[in-house]
Amino acid sequence: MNLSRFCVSNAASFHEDEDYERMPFLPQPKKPARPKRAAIYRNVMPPRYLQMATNQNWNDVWPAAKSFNPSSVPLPVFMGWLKGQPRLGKFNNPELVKIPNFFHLTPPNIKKQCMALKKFCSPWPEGLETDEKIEKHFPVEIVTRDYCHASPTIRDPRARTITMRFKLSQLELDDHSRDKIIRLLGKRYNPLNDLVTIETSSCPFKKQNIDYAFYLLTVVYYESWKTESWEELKEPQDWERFFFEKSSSRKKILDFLKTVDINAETKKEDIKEYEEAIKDIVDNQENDETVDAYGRSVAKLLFSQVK
Amino acid sequence: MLTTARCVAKRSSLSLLKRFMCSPTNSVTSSISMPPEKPIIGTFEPIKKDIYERLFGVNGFEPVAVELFEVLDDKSIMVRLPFIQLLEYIEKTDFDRPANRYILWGRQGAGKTFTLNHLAYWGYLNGFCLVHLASPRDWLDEPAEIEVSESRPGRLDFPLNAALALRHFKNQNSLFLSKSELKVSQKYTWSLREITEQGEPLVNVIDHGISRMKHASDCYAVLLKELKIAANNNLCRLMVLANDVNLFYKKPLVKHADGRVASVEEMTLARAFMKMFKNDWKNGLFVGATYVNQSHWKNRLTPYYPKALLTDRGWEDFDPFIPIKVENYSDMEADSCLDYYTDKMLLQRPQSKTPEGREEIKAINARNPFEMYKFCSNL
Repeated sequence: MNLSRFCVSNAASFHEDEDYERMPFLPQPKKPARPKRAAIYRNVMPPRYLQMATNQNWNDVWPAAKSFNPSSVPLPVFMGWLKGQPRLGKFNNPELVKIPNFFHLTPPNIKKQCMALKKFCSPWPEGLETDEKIEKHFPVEIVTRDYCHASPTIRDPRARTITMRFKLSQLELDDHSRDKIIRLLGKRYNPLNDLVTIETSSCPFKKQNIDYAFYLLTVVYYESWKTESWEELKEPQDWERFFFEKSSSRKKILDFLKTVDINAETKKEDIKEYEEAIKDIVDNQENDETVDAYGRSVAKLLFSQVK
Repeated sequence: MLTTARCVAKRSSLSLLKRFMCSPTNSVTSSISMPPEKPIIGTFEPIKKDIYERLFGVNGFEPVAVELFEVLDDKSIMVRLPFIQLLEYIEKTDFDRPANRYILWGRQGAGKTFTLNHLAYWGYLNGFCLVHLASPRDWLDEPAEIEVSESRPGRLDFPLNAALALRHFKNQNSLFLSKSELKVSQKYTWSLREITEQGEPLVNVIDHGISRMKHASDCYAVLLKELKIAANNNLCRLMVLANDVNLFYKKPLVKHADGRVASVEEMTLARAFMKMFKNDWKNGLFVGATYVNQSHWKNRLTPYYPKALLTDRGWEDFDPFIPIKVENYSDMEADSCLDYYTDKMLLQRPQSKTPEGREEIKAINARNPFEMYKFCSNL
């Protein structure tokens, strides 16, 4: 009896008592859906270049160096190429962003910046109007470098390196010393533009390195004017160019003229021609013209008549 | 005119000996007839058979040219511009002056050897005493025999080559030697019992060298020395012709017994011949032809200019000399050459005789004489 009442009461409580907490694993009753917000459609702004006036001040658009911005450049710029597709324009084109541009360096812009800088400049010195004049008055050029960065120290070890440049023709040299200084300078001399470049970084400070570069220049200059005893051993094969005056060719041709009783003074022009021809063959490339000229000049001397 | 391929195959001493034994010694039968006064460029100048045997029987033309002469049964040389230039120079030469040196230079196959041999022929007809060196390679690279000199220790003798050179000289100058009375200027002691006294005829030295091959190298050196003296004394007019002169300035292949490479100064023959390169003698002329190997595509661009070939030492020896360029055929010369080949039935195919065929032959071979000959010999 007791047991049956218990069972019944249990069943009744499940159905009727609403105060009980819902079991968490039971499905939640569906909430009413949140009302959808109405989509807001805005008109897309047209690119800036379409709104630009043709007489605008470009400096305001692009005052300083910056990466490429397609919407503010009013130019049909293309870059890149894809197979079977039209040319790639400026929009969505990362290649255009990668490369440096010079839109900030338009002539009016440069002029404007120069005008701004002008008040800090002194007038150009008189007498230095041309490069030749500058070269004459300032034969030596010294390049120094300063490094500026955010760190606890203002020193930078790279700043001690200096470069000194000058033209070899500025130095007073003769044939021998010129040949020797070129050999001593080695790769520091560029024969194409006649420029000597001495770079020093041996000393800890810039000033010391400048002094050291001048010291090197002095030493190499005076060394090149010296003639050592072993330089006498230089043979014709070692000559940097053909010296007719001390060559055996001159001796032989003069001996020949002596044996045939011709005064060499009267054949000066022919000897000069022979000299030019032989110089051309030895110093420059041998070709049909030079060999022919040599033959003609030799024949002129060999068959020359006593006047 | 044709030029020849360089035969670099080693000639065996046996074949040299055979040539030495077979070379003619009989006298000239045909009378000397002077060629026309002014040679015309492009014409072929025939050489009579006995004169050819005399001048080039021992040495002279390369095997390819000799073969061609035999095939065509005609020994003709085309008159070329360098030959005319040489004649002009010789014409205005004052023979009281030091000998002039001429160097023939040009591409391989352009006709340097033929021009040189043509001049030898001209010199023979005009009474020059010929000293003709056809192939210095025989001395410098592949001598038939090598012996250590007894008279000068440390020097190398090439007895067979020297005897051949003497025979060559004697053949070429038989007419001249029979007329002239060249005497030996000093006493030469070859051995204890073999002596050439002062005042003996120069032929004795040559004969001694030919009969006693052991002394042949020394005899050749003495011969050249005596010829120089004779020329200086106006007893003869010398024409020294040397083919492949630039080979004297390269490293020779001849070695000493101990394996050391011999220098040119250590070879009796070469040393004696190189003394003729200098112009310390008069009454004569020296003509040298350069050698350049451009037969292969790898060495097509080898420089063929005189200074590059002679090297610094050669330039030092020869300067001042007159370089004479031997060019490829001109259009007219090439036509003349093709006419000659057609006449001699070397060109057989009908296409090669048409104007188009001839133009093609000229164009393909760039009018190079030897290339044209090689090409035409297959047509």
